[in-house]
Amino acid sequence: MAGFNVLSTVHSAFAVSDLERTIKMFDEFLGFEIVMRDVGQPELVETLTGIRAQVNLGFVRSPDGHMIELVEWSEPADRGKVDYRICDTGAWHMALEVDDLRAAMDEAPNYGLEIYNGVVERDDGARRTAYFRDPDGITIELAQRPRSRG
Amino acid sequence: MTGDFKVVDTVHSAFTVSNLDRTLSVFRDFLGCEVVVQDAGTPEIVKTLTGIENAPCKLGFVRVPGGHMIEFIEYEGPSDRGQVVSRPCDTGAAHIALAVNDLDAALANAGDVGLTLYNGVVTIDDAPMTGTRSAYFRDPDGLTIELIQWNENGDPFKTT
Repeated sequence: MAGFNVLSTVHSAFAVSDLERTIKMFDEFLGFEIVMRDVGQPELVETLTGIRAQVNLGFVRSPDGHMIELVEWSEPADRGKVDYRICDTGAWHMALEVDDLRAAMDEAPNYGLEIYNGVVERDDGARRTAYFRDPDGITIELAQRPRSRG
Repeated sequence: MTGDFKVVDTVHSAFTVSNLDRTLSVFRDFLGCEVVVQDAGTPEIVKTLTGIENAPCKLGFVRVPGGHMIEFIEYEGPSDRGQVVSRPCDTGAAHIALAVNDLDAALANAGDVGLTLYNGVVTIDDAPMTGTRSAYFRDPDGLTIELIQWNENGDPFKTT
């Protein structure tokens, strides 16, 4: 017994280089709701992370209610960019179900999303699925359930 | 929304881990998540999806109270796979935030399961979230978990 309970998932969060570009991608490409924009206070950011920095925050919500926090850091000057392959420990992605993967693939390049490699086509009833990477290295998996027959 | 398709559901968040059993035990025993299924990944599918060859993997899925699914993937190849090193300020860094009912109890026990507090605990002093508290933890794989204890008003963004 750990002495406490997890009640719910609050959000997934990603550090981004251009908040408005990423908000536009979630809004226009993926149909997320823009919930709010805010400015993070340097004191709070430092207490949480040990890094003193002002951040710009954006919250977007998926059609099924999952919240994503987007964090644009303006400091420190030596901040970098995560470079990873999906097999590297600590790599991450998020997966969204779409109703038309082909249409999503056609539009993805307009928002800077590149397909990793190919589309997995399944004959066992599992979703068709593909991995995409945005200019910040965010990996988004898009998956489509097989169309029902009749 | 200008597109010809719609997002209909969030399927999962996913993290690559070095030791699936260890991570599953943290999420089951410490965080109270349900282990839904464990499975073996198929190298052919990994190659098609990611372009990475010779990457057998083990998969574990946990469901967080409230319903969100997290997928953990332990790759057993290729041999030159590495570890992501990131600070929260680095573009592309990620975390997942969970609401808890007792942050102090979580803080007291996190070290026992390999979770290290990043720095300190934030207490919000800004209505309507006044009194809401939050802390960042890092696991041995570099996965960042934020634990939040809401004030009596609960999640200000909750829709239902």
